[in-house]
Amino acid sequence: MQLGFAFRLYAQNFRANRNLNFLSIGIIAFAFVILGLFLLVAKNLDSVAEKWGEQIQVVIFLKRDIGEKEKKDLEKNLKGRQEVKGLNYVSSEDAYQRLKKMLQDRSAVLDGLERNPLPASFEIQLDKKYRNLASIQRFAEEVKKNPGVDEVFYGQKWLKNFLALVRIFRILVFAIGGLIFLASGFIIYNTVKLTVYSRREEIGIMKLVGATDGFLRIPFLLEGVTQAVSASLIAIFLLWLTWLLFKNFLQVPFQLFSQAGISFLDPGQMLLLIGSAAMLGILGSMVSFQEFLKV
Amino acid sequence: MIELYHVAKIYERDITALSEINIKIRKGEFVYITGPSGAGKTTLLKLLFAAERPSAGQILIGGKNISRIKPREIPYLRRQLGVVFQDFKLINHWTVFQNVAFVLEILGFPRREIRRRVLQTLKRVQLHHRVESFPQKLSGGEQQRVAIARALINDPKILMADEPTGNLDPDITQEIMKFFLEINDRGTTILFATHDRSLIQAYPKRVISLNRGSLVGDSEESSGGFELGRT
Repeated sequence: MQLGFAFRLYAQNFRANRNLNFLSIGIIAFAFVILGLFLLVAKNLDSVAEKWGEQIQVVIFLKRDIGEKEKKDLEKNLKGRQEVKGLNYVSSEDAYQRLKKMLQDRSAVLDGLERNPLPASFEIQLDKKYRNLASIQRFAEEVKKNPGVDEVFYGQKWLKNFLALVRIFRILVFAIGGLIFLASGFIIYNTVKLTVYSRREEIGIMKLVGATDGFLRIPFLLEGVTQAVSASLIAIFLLWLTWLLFKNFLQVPFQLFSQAGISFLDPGQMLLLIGSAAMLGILGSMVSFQEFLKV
Repeated sequence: MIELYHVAKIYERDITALSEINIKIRKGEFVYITGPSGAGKTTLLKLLFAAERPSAGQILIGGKNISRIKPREIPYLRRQLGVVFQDFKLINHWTVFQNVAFVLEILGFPRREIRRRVLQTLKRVQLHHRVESFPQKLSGGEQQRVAIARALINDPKILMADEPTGNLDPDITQEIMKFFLEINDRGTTILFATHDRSLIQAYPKRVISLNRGSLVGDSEESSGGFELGRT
């Protein structure tokens, strides 16, 4: 097979069909921009959910009469558990000060108390893997068995709602994302097919003078891949511009929901986009080539 | 060189394009295939360069049976044949040079050798001054000469032409005809499909006549050439 010539043929074809190629790249880039926009929105909303998820914490209230050794044992025990990502001890006095601070100038109400009624507690940040209702419940049950533990609190009701919301959101992302991915795949496939279709006569001629399918496939594969990959690069660039433009406008309202800034696609996601472009380019040209090649 | 035994071609919906064709063509012969349009001339040629497969019968080219040729072997068969069409079948965004050179490029000839042979062949069809032109800037006769040059470049044993003068003026037709005769003189077997009776009269050669898919005459047989077993 004449690889060098196949590459020259590809370059030659690309130049000769400049307009059609640019049109195709434009259409494919448009499809990728839509897909990318969706990815961006989904990613940022997900990071909000993630941030909120980090705030899921389990508070373990300790019995008033817990001894120093029992407390140390409990802490050691908790730190050893897989579920626990972070642990913070809040003494009875700390809790009192916090409450005082929260009440601000109304803190005088506390003066009526004979003694500090607040128990000491451990505040537990959970590992990402265990931020679901079942794990949290199991964790709470197990911790509660410890004799030094008075009560375990994890915002049961709120947590249930929040986790359900996150789940619906992820299912929606998956479904809509899948649809958009299929749609852009279809557009890309058809656009590449258009290129091959416009050349079917030429392909027929080349076959008549003895070109093998294997040889003819190379320039078309390269063309399909070039179109799809350059379109995905253009799309990423356009998305980046859009992101720059809107970042500052959206930053403030966004921060109301989470401490996270608006982020762009990370390198992995960009590579995934470019990679799927290449795949679609190959697939599109292979299939359409096969379709038009019955000479 | 070319042998057809009981060859038939039936397209879908039972349209019979050819039936019971028995022909033997020797090396170096010049053979007209003639008949009104729809007689099966084009189908016959298509069977020979494997663009179609026969529904029945055997086709041998140079001793090789191509009736059951595998798809991946077809390109290699075509490289041994030259084919010229009525509509030239040139690639319009390629120069004359590129159109002719393509045949050698896919065979992997070195570039210098390609250049030498293309220029030589274009000289043979008197087009060496149009090397860098694009086909659409050329006259019909010139375009057909490019197609002939392309068919000749790899020294095929057999040259097939499907109404090669069908789109050309009478003057140009004479000119093209002379090329085919000259090529034949050098030993290439030629199959020339045409419905132009005057052409056959002007340059008499063996004539195979088809009508509605049947072989209705072979001047070779009537003049006492070899006989084919008829059923």
